[in-house]
This record gives sequence, C-alpha cells and structure tokens, in this order.
Amino acid sequence: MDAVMKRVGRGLVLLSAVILVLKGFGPTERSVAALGQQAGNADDPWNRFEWQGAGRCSSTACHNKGGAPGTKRSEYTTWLTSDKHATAYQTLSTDRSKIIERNLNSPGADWHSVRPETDNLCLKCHAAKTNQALRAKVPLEDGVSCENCHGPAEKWLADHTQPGFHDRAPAAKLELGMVDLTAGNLAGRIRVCVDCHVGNGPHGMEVNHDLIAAGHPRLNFEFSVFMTNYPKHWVEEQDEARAWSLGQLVTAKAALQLVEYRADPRNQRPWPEYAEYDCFACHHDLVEPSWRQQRGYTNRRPGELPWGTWYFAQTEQLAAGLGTHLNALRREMARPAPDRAAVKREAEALATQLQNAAAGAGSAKLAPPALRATLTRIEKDFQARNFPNWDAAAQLYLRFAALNHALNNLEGSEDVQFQSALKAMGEDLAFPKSYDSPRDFQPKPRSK
Amino acid sequence: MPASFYRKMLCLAVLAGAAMVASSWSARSRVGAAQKDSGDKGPRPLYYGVENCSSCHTQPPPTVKNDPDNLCRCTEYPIWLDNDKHRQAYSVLKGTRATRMGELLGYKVQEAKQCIGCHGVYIADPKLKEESIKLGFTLEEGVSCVACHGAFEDWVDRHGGVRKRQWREYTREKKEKEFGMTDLWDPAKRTALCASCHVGNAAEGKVVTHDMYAAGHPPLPSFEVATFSDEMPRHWEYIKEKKPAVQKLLKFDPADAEWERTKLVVVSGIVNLRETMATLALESEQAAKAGDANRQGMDLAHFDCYACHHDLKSPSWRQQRGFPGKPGRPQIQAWPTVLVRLGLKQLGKDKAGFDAELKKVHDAFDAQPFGDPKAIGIAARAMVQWSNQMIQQLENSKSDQAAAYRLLRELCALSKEELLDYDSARQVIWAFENIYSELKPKPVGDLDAKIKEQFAALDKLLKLRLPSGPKHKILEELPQALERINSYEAKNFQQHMEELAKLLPRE
Repeated sequence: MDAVMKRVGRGLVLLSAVILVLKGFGPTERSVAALGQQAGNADDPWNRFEWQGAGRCSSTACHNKGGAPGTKRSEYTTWLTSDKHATAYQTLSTDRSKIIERNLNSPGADWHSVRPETDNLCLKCHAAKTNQALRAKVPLEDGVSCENCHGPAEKWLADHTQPGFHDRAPAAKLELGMVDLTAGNLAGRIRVCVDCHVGNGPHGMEVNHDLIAAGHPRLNFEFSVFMTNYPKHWVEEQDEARAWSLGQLVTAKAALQLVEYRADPRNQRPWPEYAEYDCFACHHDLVEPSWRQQRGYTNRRPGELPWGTWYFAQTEQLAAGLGTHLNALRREMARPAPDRAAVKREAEALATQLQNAAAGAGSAKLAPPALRATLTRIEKDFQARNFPNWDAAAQLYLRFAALNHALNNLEGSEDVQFQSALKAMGEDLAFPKSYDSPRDFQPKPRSK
Repeated sequence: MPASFYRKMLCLAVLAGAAMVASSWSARSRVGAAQKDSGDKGPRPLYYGVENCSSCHTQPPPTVKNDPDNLCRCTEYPIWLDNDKHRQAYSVLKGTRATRMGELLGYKVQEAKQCIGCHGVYIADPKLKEESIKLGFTLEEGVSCVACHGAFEDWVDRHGGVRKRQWREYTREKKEKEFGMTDLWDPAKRTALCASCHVGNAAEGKVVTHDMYAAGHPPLPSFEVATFSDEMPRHWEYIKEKKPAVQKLLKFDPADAEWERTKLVVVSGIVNLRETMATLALESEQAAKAGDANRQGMDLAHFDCYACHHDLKSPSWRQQRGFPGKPGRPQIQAWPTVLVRLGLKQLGKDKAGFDAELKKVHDAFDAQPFGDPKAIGIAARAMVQWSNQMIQQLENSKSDQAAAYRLLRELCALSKEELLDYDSARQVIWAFENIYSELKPKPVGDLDAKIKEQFAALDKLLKLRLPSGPKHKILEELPQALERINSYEAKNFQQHMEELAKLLPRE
C-alpha cells in the first residue's frame, strides 16, 4: 500500500509539475501582456482566445459549399474567390512590399533580401490581428480570414454548430469570443473594420507617415462605400444612408483614439505625426499662380498644417456642438509642436461626443424625398466648388455615392442625372495617370 | 553810376566773401570733428542716399579720364540705376503680390523689418533713421549703395575727397574698422553680405519664413555669388578686367594669373554652408528654449522645400532609391553643402571629416518629425566652426590652371557619385561655368564649342539664366521656373555631367 501511495504521490507531483510547466509555456494573460499587447478584455476577443485558422471553417458541409458568391453556406468560397482580404498576406511577397520593408527597417540593404512577410507590424493587418502565441495554429497564408472579424473560434467552434446557438444573446456569444457583426450592431461591425482600416494604437496596428513614405498606400477608409463594394458573403438589406452616418462617426472616433495614442509620450510614437494631416497640403508641386494663395487660409496662418481633413470633413454635419473641440484640435495640431496633453484632452472630449451621436444615429430610415434633397444639395455644393481641399471634396463625393445607392435601392432604378453627376465628380477627383496625388485639382475657381 | 554805389557793392562783395570763407572754415572744422570722433569711437553710423555717391560715380571726372588715379570705374551709379534689380527691391513691396501677402500674413509689408531687411535697408534706431532721412536717405532707393558698402559717413567723405591718395594706402581692415567701408574685395566677406539676403541671416532678422512662402513669396533659388554678381550686372571689375595702369597701382601682375573668380567660387561654396548653418543654429537654439508652443518647432523654411512639395508619383523614385535614415522625414536643403567638395579639393583634404559633421546634422533632423531643435543647434554650431576653419585656410590658398582642371573634374565626380536635386545641380553647373571661363588657354580643337553646347543644353534643363534687371520679371518667369523644378530628372543631369567629364582634357 505504501509503495502504491508513494507511486501515486510521485505521479501527482509529476503531473502538477507538468501542468505548471505547460501553463508557463502557454499563452497566459501575463505573457500576452509581456509581448507588448493589452491583455484581452471582453471587448477584445482577438487577444483572449486562440485562433484556429480559416481551414476550420472550410468544410464543404459547413461554409464552403461551392455555391454562387454570397449564397448561404458558401461564405468561405465567396471569401476565397472574390474577397481581397484573402490575398492580403500574398501582398507582402510583392516587390513593393519588399521595398517598403527595406525603406522602413533596413536602409541601405538590398531589397531583394528583406522579408516583410515576417514583420509583425505588417502581419497585424495583412494576416491575423493578434500576437504570435495566439495565432500559432493559423497559416499566415490565410491572410485576413474569418477570425479577423468574427473572433477567434477557440471557444465557439464546436458550440456554434449546435441547435439553439443562433438564438443566444450577443453578449453571451462574445463571452466565447464570437463578435456580433449583425446589422443590428452596425457600429460594432464598423469598429472591427477600423482596427485595420484606420488603426488601433494599443494593438500595434498603425500606418503612420514613416510607413507611407516607405511606400505603403494611404488609408482612405469610408465605411459605406467600402461596404457597398465589398463582395459580401452574407445577405442583408442595404441601408447606405445609415451606413454612411454611422460609418463617419465610428471612423472618426477611431481616428481620435489613434491621435490620442500617438500624443501619449509613453507610446513613443513620432510626434507630430504627419499622417494626421492633409497629405496634399504639403504634397503638391509648387505652381504659379497658386490657387491656395488665391483662396487664402481659413483659421490658420499661411502654411500651417491642416489636421484631420479626411476623417473630419463631414463630421460637423452629423451632430450639433462638435465645433468647439474639433476646432480646438485643429488649432493645436496646426502648431509646429502641438501640446500633447491638450490634444489628448480635446480628442477624448470629442470622441465622447461622437460616441453619443452614434448611439442615436440613423435610427429612422431616410425616404426618397429626403435623399433627393440631400443629393441635390451635394451636387450644388460640388459644382460651386464649395470645399477647401481634395479630402473634403472626396468625402462629399463618397456621401453622394452612398445616398445615391440608397435611393437606387429604394426606387429600384437609377436616377440618370444623379448618376451622371456622380461620374463627373469621380472624374474630377481622379488622380492623373502615374500620380498618387490630385495634381490638377483645384477646389475654388480661380479668382479674377 | 555814383562812386558811392560802387563802394557799397565792394563792401557787399567783401562781406559775402568773408561769409563764404567763414562758413567753409566751420564746415571743415565739422568734418575735422567727425574725423576726430571716428578716431575715438569708431565710424559714425549714417544711412546715406545714393545722391551722395552719384555725383562722382556717374562718369569718370574729365581731368582724370586717362589718369589711373581712380581705382573704380566711376560708372557704378548708372549701371545700378538702369540695370540692377536691387533698385526695384522696395517698389515690389507695393505690387499686387506683396499686397496679397500682407493680407494673408496680417502685417504691413512696406514697414515690416522682415520685409525691409532684404527689400530695402532697415534702420533700427529711430533717431538715426530720422537723421538719415533728413540727409536724403529713402527706402524708395531699394537695395542701394549703403546696403552693401557700409552705413557710415566716415569713409564716404574720405575715400573720394582730398585725402583719396592717403586712403588708398590704408589696408582693407583699416578702411573697414576705422572708417566703416565694408571690405567687399574679400570673397568670404562679400559672399556673407550677399548671402545675408539671398540665403538668410537669422541674427539680422533676415529669414524668409514658411508662412511668407505660403502667402506668396517666390521660393529663394540656390545662391552662387559669382553667377549672381555677373547677372546683376556687377558694377565692379575683377582685377584682371581693370586697366593696366590701375592693375599696376594695385600691384597686380597679370602673369601671376590670380584666379580671382575661381577663388570666389570655392570660398563662397563654404560661406554659403556657414551662413545656412549659422541661421539654423540660432533658430534651433531659440526653438529649443521657447516656452510658447508656437515657437517650439523649427520653421518649415529650414527644410528642403521639395522634400514635401512634390506631387506624389507612382512609382516613386524616392521610394525606389530608399532613404538614408527614417523614411519621410524632411531634411535640410542639400544645395549649401554641394560645393564644399571644391574647398576640400583645393586644400587636398578628403571628405570623411565633412561627411561625419554633416551626418550629425542629418541625424538631428531625422531624430523626430521636424527635427530635434536642441541636437540641430549643436550640430549646426559645429558646422559653423568647421566652415570658419576651412575659409581661413582657403583664403591663403592659390589656384593655377592645373588646380582649376582638378576642380572641374571634382564637380564631374560628385555628380557621378550621387543623384543631385535641382538646386544642387544648378550650383554645380554655375561653379563649372565660372571656373571654366577663367581657363587660359581653353581646351583645344572643337572641345570648347562642345562644352559650350553642353552648357546650352543644361540651361534648357535647369533654367540657368536668372530673371535679372528691370526687364525680366521674377513673377512672370516663375511658372516656367517651377515647371522646370517639378519636371527635373536627376539622371538627365548626371548624363550631361558625364558628357562634360569626357570633354575635359586628361591630366
């Protein structure tokens, strides 16, 4: 008996040692934090649970039926065949990506030899948006796959196939790591998109000016048009007008959180961050005569940097009372050395205002007469060149596109005049061949 | 006529004569007093108008036309009046462009120090200003004689009056220190003076800031003093151009072949660097200790304009080429550094030392967006010191035909080693043209013609000729000038320089 007890005792000790050792090597909250990430909280399933990889969704019996794109049970098929997200990782093997990597991290090196596909900064958006430990099972070649939006499947992969799972409350599903992307939680869906398409500082997902100068395209996210053009692997009734308002608010809020992150000296980001400003305020050939000098400079000294021209072009139209904090931010960021504490303070205040506005946004569906009135007004504004810069004009155009699409859906046909106005605006805004900037674009007409 | 009438006339004449003699006596004693003053406290500041110069400097006095008594041409005033853009410098402040700039900037451009400092003559002391104006000074004369030759009355009286032969015996230092005549013979001093406006001088409040550019001030081109002087047109002569009798007076031996122009190009190459760095040092030091957030960053004018101001091309040659440090951080302008190689070549030094000093400046700019002002200040001050040492050594160096060819080959070599931007390219070819023009004999056969062809082709590429004089308007030529800058391809310039290199004789 003693001998058996001794063996059991030794076995238990050995077992506990093994368990303890395994726990030490596994992804604990502390080790996740040590890797430089926030320990995942309830709102951040991507850093709480283990990712499984898109292969786990791709059985023909489940989501890979092989049917027409957008049909039920063919979500994986649709994603694989039509969705650019699926090739996001392959992009990292291109010459351009290599040049970016060389410029950013290995100046002077031969760009043929660098490997952006191993750079965590790239992988966060071009593959799985989590740390190495949690994505250990995921083939990076998946690119931006199911779990990037739906949440890591560790705890719900088995459960969600069971009857009754569908009817569980979103909060309960989130506890297991499944994110609510339904139309009823549109703001939540947009927040998922903006992690990559705008940025998420604490998660190291940031396209800043260093990266853009190295060769990365600029981020120009506008939710409703991105969503309209997205090859959906689900079916839903479109409401572009609502998508537009909510998209603007949630996107702007993400941009504010990013500037707060950059302003915080503990995060050691370049400051001031050039990507916060209107790209083309600087990036234009000097020409004579200069429409900028003719137009003048509103609310800033000549040559000061205009901040937030993309994300905040339309913001003041969406809710009352945003001007105070928005203008304070514009003023502060225009200084050669913006005060970090002031920027954080104003950005936080404005973000709260946007959050409140989003809570009440777009609950009533816009009917055709309201849509037409707005579309007509935008068309007039555009013709009158009633915008200070290209960013503002482009945001106006995208709003027009969203509302025009909404009108077409409601009326079941295209309005010829609006359609041709849309085409004209697009041509006006397009960059000339081999340019990445609006070389010949002039907001205000030339003064006599 | 009664005798009493003639008696009265005689008395009047005597009285008038006595009065004239008395007044001239007292005038002389005033001058004497001034001269005594100058001996005690240094020269007396005075901003004089051109009328004080034009009486003698319009044409050589008839009695001394063939007498080499005068070192100068004595035609400087009409040359400046009729041909020199400096004459119009103040009047442009009244034009449409300047008016619009005033609206956008919110101050009166015709009165502001930051405008008049370069577009006229700024007088800080209100009493001195009042006195000067009473004695004929006016801003309307633009950048006139007093702006460059020294705003002191002592030398004006001395240099051309009864003591002019005595004046000629004085050293240039004495003329400057005791009497206030700026030593413009010295290539370093001349360049520094010109550069104070054409490059900038923060200590004198002469900086074209970025808000001025954004409001409409044309971009300042790169500055090569020999070229700019020729195109002024210069109202003075190189020693080689002077009459033989004047050359004899100046103890100049033509057989000695003093390479005055080449020396000017080489020395000014370093002076441009020093002046740029001195302004950078002062401005960055002020930014580093500024309390007000508006003054804490470097003014954007201190960065290379075209680092930011270019339309984005795809593919981008900057991205293909890569970046020496962090991508996308604007650096200082490159052109003030490009002709430093000539000075190094002249003194037989290699460029490792200079490259190391320059790297410190570049690293300071790279450290954070818009540079780390404290680090920039330290690096720029070190550059000023380095430049001063070089200038001192260069002043004592001499050139000859072989040395000139070495300098030309150095210009070709540096064009081959790196892709130069537009402004740097202009500096290189301006330097080349100037040094080449002093060569005697020129390359044999048709090489000279071929070289001139390359100059013409480069003129098309770089718009080398300046909008000088009253006829060429800067604003009218600006669209074309900017178009050249925007369409400039560094590889094109490199190819032309390779052709030039082939046309130079082998050592």
